[in-house]
Amino acid sequence: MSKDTNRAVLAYAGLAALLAASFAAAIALGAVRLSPVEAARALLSSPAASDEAASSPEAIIVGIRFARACLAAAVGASLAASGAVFQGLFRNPLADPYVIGSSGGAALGAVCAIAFGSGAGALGFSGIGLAAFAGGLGATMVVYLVAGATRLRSDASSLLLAGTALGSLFSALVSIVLALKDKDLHQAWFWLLGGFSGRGLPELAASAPAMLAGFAAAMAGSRSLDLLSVGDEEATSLGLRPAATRFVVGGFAALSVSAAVALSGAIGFVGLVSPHIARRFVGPRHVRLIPAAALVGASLLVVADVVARTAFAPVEMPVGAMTALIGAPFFVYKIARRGLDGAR
Amino acid sequence: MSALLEARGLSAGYGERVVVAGASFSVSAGSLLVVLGPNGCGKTTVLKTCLGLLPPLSGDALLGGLPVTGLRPRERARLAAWVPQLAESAWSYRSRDIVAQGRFAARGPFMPLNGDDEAAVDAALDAMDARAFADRPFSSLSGGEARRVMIARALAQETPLIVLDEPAAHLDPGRQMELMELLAGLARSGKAVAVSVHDVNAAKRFSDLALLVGKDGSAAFGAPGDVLTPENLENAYDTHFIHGDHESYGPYVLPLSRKRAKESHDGR
Repeated sequence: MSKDTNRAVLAYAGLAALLAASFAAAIALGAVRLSPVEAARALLSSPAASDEAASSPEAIIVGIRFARACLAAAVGASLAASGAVFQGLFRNPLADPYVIGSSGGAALGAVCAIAFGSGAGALGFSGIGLAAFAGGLGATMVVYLVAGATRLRSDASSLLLAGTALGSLFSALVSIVLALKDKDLHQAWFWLLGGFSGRGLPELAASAPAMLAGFAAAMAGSRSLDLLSVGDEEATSLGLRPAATRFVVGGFAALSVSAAVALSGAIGFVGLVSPHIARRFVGPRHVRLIPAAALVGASLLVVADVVARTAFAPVEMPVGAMTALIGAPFFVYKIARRGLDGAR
Repeated sequence: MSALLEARGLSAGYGERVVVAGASFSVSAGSLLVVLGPNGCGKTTVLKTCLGLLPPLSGDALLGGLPVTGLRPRERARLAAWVPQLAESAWSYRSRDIVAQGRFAARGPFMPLNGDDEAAVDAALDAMDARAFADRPFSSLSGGEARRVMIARALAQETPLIVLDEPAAHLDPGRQMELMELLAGLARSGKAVAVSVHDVNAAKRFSDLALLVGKDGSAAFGAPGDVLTPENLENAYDTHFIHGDHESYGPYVLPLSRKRAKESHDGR
């Protein structure tokens, strides 16, 4: 037990260090390079210092980069934790945060807002963000209703099928809207691939409560998720209600994902690979896996955003393309070495 | 003594398809019930229905005297533990994690496991002689080892009733004997045990009660000596048996030859 605990503590320390290093890179790198000492001084002095020091060019750059790294970390953590939840809920290593339709719905909401004009923002969300959030949550509800209406109720495969089918439907609708309103194509395209430019801490504050609620529900459901690993029938015999668990824990995860997508667009891959990477370090028990996946996802997305900003500067790449560019080779290397669910 | 598991005119099956019709049987604390019958006759179906894992088509299934359909999952899981035939777990949980799942019913979804739970898990691992592979991934275990972990999980559940679905499948003769001795021991220690098996001789030798399920959905229940008679076995399995009496084993049967199609048809 203690050996196991020690290993987990070590893993968390390593993952936290990784996140800190990715933040350091995010603050130091960019069009204006800062030395680590300059960056640290500006970061530490900015809130408390005199007006003169706070308005220095370094402090402004550091403030912007720090806010953007916070955004990336929050979105990465939300997507990765939700990815771990959906993989557990569906006992499926290929499940990702968008598996029950939230990205398709969010994309449709956002693209409609871009094409037909959005209302004013509310609750701290931008108009487009609000449309994406509502679209993501609405899509999840439709998927639950469709799956619940089948004879199998909310079992894993009917939810997966409903999610996949409705996801395709939403993609088709997005394509139709874009074809009708092709002048908005470029803006919509960047939104669909995901990114952080032009968003800051106020937008993060709007999404944070939903993200935190999703994370709290995932942690509260961690032992139920462990039970689902043996299948619905056995889990029932052990005292669990599998369908209710999928409804509640999955619903909160979809809430978190919708908030993340409202913030940054549908960034792919982070939510799929981070749980697999985290499982290597802390094992499959969800009480440990979910926080570890959040740390991995946060680090991965902060690094991906640095690459998106700097690799082809001054042109900014969509961060969703960068996550796959960085994540895919690493993922394949890991699988090739030890198998998808190899023993630790 | 009141029955921990009882079926009253219970019909089990799937939707329109009745697999077992009108079965009545029960098992109380301290007794071992064996369930026999040919492949596909519905042994698993009737046991799952008794545990509330399938809805009964008609009749009643009672756990601890209460209708199983009215119990909440955690109440059910504190009355009866289920050891399924096939065990597999997604991800590479350690065997100990699998056994600890048995504590869910007692602790609930939100409370972390405490010292009592750890003690129950350790005791269950010891009872199944499974300490040696407790920290290995469950998916890496041999069939026999995995079976012992599954039974350990049922023991960790600390229920008065344990129901096992063909736990002897794929075990060598030594392990089969060990298993039957273990189940008889559990019954002697005061648990009620219901188990489906294919070894007629072991069933007869170790059990207190027997349920013989036929291909036609019938279910005969009673003392092993009354239910597992050579004639009943011949009809249930469409097979000729020879029987004898060994000085240290006692009465035994051996399958001799399969009944031919016409012959078995005439026999019905």
